[in-house]
Amino acid sequence: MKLVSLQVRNLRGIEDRVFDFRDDIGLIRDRIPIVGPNATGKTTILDAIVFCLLPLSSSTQRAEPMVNGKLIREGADETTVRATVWLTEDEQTDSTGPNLLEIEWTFPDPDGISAGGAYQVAPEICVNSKNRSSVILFEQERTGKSGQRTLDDKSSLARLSELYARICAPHAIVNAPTPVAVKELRFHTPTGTCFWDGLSTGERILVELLLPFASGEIHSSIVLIDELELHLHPLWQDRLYSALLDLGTDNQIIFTTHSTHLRDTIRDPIYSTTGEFITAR
Amino acid sequence: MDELWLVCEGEPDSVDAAVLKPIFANVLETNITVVAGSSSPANSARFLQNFRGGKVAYVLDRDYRSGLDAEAAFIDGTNGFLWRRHSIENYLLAPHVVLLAFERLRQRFVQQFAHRLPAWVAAFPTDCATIETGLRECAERRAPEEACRMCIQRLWEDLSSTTGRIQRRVPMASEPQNRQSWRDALVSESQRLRIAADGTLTSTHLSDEAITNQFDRILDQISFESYFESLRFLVDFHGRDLLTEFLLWLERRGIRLSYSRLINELIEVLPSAYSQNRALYGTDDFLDLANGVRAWAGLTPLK
Repeated sequence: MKLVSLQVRNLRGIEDRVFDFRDDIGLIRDRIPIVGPNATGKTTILDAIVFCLLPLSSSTQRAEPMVNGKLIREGADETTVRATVWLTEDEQTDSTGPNLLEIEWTFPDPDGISAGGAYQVAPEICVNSKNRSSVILFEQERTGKSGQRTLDDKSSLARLSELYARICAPHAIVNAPTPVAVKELRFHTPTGTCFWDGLSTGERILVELLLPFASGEIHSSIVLIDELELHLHPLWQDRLYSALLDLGTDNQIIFTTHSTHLRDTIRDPIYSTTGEFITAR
Repeated sequence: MDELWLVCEGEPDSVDAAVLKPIFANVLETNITVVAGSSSPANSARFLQNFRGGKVAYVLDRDYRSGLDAEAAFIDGTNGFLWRRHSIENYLLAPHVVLLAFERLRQRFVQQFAHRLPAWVAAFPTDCATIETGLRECAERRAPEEACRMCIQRLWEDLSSTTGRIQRRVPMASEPQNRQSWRDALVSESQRLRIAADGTLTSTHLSDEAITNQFDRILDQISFESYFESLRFLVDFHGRDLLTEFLLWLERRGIRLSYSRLINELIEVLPSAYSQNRALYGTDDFLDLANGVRAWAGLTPLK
């Protein structure tokens, strides 16, 4: 599943904005950077995607705490998000159907009958079930508290080690028998060996980001990452950006960033939350 | 350990930086931070060194200088380096890199368009031989202009360092209070200018015959079948112009890509092509550059 376009109306600070995620030859972009100053709507765009594409129960869970904090733009009565998504043949419930689907989310529910207060018009899209497409959000408030997680098999640990080394070399994960709790993993650094608790904040947040990819949980998904560069040195920012499309198979990564270093590295067109939203390179 | 920087040509989103960053960071795994230094990497390097400290080297396009100049820059003990190829675009045009870029594009089209593939996708080259043929055609078309550029480079190298570059000086009088002394100083200075101009005028390199002979000689050299066959032009020719010519070749086949799109596709696959085959260019230019910078900074070489 990939997001083709998105229209956001009256959501928090955004009045009406349309984003087209296709490139100059009609391909849907796999890596979408969103930049802009604070409070111009970067996180709101990620929220809009969550509201619209996750099943109503999940999106309501996320939207509810925001209702009192101006979920709807001041002066408007309702907020709407419309998305066009592309599904592979495997992802369609009816393989002969169209592979472009329109989905709409409105708050509040105009008929007032939805339990969560929002209303979603969506064909039956495949989300959040095993081996199916999904929308994954890595929030800005990532805390690096994944030490409780367990890596169940050798291949997950090997994959985590590979991804970690790709971004953090010469730092590396010391091999261990599986299943193993992340907090019991040993990490080799230029200054010695340490456990999870001894890692820097940047390293922990990075491992937290890599874990679900290493466990093979995220493929053919729309992955939303708020502030990709969080706590990372520019060199590791570069490496993470280069590795994004190799974290899983056929993912579409949509991320925000404040890092000027990353902005200089990015070759993909950048979507800005201010003024003209595309800076073509 | 001091921070180690390499300043390359171009703006922050330059092709040089876009190519070097993932290769240094992901393939060679060296902690050399790559930054772009606009049109003056040497000055930017000096500024960075003064402003931030650490060790700052820079790399320039070889342009039409000789390969020997590039090799000399690796061992002269200074912080300045030259690409072994004309410029960074020449590295992007390696046939295997071009092939990988089109394979990746085709996969994305097949995935997203399944059975409704745009017709022009069928025109994508599917093997290195086709790409090499296309590149040779492009090189043949460009050969006369390239010969002219190489010729003018040789000309400047052959001329004396003062030719055509007459230094401005303020005349000095031997007796500052004496009017005639200032008149003599002016005459002396104008004589110096005439002698310098005569030096340019009478240079044998500047005769019509000499310059056209030189042009013919160079064009002959780069028109040998073996020159095209070996793809030597990928080292010597102007990379951006060759890339533009290649884009036209693609267009004649029905492939519609913009220059920036093509270059971005090539940049995207280059680290992978290079990591799969470090002998991609005959010499391991990226490793040698990294090691040149590290050696200058007093660090051990990478393997």
